[in-house]
Amino acid sequence: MGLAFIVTLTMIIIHIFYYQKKALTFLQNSILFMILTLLTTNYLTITGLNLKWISWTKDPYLFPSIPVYRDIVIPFIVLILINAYISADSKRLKFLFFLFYLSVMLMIESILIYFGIFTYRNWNLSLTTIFNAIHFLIILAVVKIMKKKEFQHDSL
Amino acid sequence: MTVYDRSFNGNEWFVIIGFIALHILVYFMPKIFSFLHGTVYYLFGIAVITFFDHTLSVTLWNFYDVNDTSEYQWFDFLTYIMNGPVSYFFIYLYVKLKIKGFKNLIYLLIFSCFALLVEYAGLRLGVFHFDKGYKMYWSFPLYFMMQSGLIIFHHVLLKKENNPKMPA
Repeated sequence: MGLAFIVTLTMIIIHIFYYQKKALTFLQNSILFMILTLLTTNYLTITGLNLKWISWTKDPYLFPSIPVYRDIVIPFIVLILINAYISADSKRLKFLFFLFYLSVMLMIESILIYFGIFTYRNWNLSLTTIFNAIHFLIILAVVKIMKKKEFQHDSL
Repeated sequence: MTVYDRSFNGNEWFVIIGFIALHILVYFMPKIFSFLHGTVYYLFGIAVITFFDHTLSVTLWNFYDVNDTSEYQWFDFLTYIMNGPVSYFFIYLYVKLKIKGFKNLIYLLIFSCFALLVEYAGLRLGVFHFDKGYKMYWSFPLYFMMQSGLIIFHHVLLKKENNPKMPA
């Protein structure tokens, strides 16, 4: 059931992203997507396989959920929220989007734990939330750098 | 954790020399892409290799290990970064040589063979350690797929930039 859930969730998220009105271009979204896959892959491998703070499932039917979650679900959720965040006019709305993102990520991670895809050993949901917040802030910084580089390129 | 090697030798030098040489080439070659375009082609190689290495060479499947141990180390990360210039040059040559039509297939076959050759050199020097019956020829379709994906991405990117009304 865990794999069915994550695959369905993936398709829903991709649909949302596809139909969403985007503040960033395809090129910018692509760069962010790749950076996100690198960040989440490194984070999950180091916490899961090196430090063993999070244990991964050894069930062959659940294991594919991990690369799907790591390389598709998380990056697309961040992209959806980043595009919405940048489009938002007021700081209050931006903050609400940020809180919504943290809540959604927390909920999905809790469901994955419920299905036994991840098991927390020396880890907890608060730390996951902190890391999700850091991911978001890193991506915001990358967006600022990209916009600056584009501005420099356009003004040449 | 499986330890294959404890000394600083062939595999480390392969990664260091490859890393430095490829990045020097990227820096000094005449630029044909904007900063963002070059970045996305660079990141594509790193992201795809990281995906495969952290899926096929970890826990459940564990078909191979990279460098000295089965654990993820700094040198493994450097090995992934080495693929950034490779994917950058793949598209660089693709654009420079004006590859079109059936030439795509020949270009992909040549580059996949080249990737396999580099993998063989890495295998001999101790960068890769195959396990669970994994054979090098299984890497060929993976390289072919990755490089095809990069070409498709390149064309989609061009199409979207030429037609800004297309959904991003």
